[in-house]
Amino acid sequence: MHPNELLKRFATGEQEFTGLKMPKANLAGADLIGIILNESDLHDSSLVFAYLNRASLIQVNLAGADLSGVSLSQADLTRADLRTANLHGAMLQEANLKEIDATLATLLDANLIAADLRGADLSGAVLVGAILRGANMRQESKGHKTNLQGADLSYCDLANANMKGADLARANLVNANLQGANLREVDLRKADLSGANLEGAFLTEANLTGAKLTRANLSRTNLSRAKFIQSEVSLANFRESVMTNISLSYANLTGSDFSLARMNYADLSRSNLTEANFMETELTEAFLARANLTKANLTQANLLRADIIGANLIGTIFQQTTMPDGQIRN
Amino acid sequence: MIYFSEELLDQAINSFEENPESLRIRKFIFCLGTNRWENDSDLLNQVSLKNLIQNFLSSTSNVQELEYFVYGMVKRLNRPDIYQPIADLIVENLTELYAVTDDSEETNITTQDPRFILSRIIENIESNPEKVRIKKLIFAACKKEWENDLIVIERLTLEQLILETKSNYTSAENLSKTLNKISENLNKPGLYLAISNVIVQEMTPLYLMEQNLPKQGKSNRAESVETSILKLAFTEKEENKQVESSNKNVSFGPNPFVAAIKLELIQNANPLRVKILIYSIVEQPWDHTTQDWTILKTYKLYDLLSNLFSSQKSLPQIEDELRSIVNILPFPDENQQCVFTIMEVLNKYASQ
Repeated sequence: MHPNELLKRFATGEQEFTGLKMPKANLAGADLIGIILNESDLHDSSLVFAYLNRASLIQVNLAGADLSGVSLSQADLTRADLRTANLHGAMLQEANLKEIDATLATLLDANLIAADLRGADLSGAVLVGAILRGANMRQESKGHKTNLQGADLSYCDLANANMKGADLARANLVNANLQGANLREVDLRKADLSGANLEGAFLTEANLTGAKLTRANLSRTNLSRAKFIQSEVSLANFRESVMTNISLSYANLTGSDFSLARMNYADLSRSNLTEANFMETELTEAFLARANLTKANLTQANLLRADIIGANLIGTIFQQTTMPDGQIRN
Repeated sequence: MIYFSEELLDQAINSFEENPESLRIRKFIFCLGTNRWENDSDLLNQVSLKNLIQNFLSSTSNVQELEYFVYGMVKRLNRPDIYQPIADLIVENLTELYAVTDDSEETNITTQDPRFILSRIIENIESNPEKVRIKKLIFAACKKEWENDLIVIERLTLEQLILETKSNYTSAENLSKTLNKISENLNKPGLYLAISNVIVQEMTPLYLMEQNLPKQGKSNRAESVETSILKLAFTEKEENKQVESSNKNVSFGPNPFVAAIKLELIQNANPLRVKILIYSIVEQPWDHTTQDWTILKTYKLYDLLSNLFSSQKSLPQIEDELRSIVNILPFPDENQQCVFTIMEVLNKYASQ
């Protein structure tokens, strides 16, 4: 079918075009609101600024298509093939993107507010500056993880997004906004979160081994049982966070702020805590063997039953500090 | 001509002549004053150091330009390690001269000759072994298209290209961004990024000179109260960011003011249309070329908004320019609506 015929028939009220074969079609600027194109083949087509709001595009093949500025709000793209597609500045608000394959796709500055991305494959995709507030990427009990391995999410807005169990290994999240996001059990190994804002986020049991979080804001987060082994977390803000049983061994935490945080049972062995701030921090039974606490501030910190054997305490500030044996040190 | 304190100038010359490296200092100053390198010590000693310095200083209007020329020359010499301390010494001694002329700077600067700066830029580029690539890259930034045909490029003189490029970009920073974006998309990005740096370095004095000129015609422009507030809000956030940067325990991140405006725009308008419109007024008018699409993909909406606020345009000016752009773009209705949303959001934040 020729694109003109499709447009003509759609304009007369026909909506059902399931299984249409129209690769490399030029449908730029077309008004196709509510069209049904399930299982259609539109690979390498141009749909720049097209209107496909509320369209049904289940399992559609849009691989390599140019969808710049397209309106796909509330459209259903379940299991669509969007590999290498260009969705620059696209509107995908509340779209159903479950299990789409969008590997290496471009979603620069796209609107993905409240989109359903469960089980989607976005590995290597470019989502720089995209807005994903309230998006759903939660791993289903038996479903696939949302795959964002190596994706570029720098300057992304992921506030309050549900990313539980998502795979974000090696993702770029520099300067991303993750305020209040659900990041429980996420895989963030070797991810770059420098300058990211994670205030109030939930990172319970998240794996951040080898991740970079320089100057990240992690205040008031829940980091219980999270793994930060060998991570680079200098000058970060962990103020008032819950960090019980967190593993920070070998991490570089130079100059970071842990004031008022609860770090009971935390593993800080062999970590670099030079000039870190532990004012009023709960460190009961924390493991600080061979940690470097040079010039760290432990004013009013509680180290009851903590293991500080072999820790470097040169220049460490003790002021009303509860030591492992229960004595107060000034 | 800027008139410097004779007393301070004499002090500087004494200091140069008493220095054990006085011959190298003389060689360096000779080159600054005449734009050629001379090794003949007899000839060097015949020329008055004072005249050479005055000749060189007449082409600079501030310390930044002085530093630019002095350190720029060090980079072009065969033995920069030896001449770096000499350059430091020259800058240190001559900087004091500008401090004295500051009071009368505004009246004096207008007398400086931009042709001199331009001729230096052309000379430097022409003597660069990569002059062909430099010209290609300036042409690309100027005309927004990549041209491999040297005949086409050579139809324009380097002077024409530099002046046109200068007028197309409001600041050296904007020029640098575009040059870098173009370079990144070429086959030899590393080489072209280096060339991009050379171009920016060469053209910066033209922008510096402009910054120091009195803002003719702008002083009388009445700005709306809202605009001032918008600017103030942005400036405050920028300042806060700088304060935060100095506080090692506070996180970095995007400017919250720009991020909030961006969020609101993306929620209420087509993000790509917003980008095209703002790109058109902060960079170059959109003309649907492949290059435009490629360049736009190298910008985040956040960057474009930041550039818009840095441009110091007033709200009525922004609206006027956006409306003019709509007239030359397809989909006028959609773009008109988009302009309406942009202005609504900007007005809202200006009044907060």
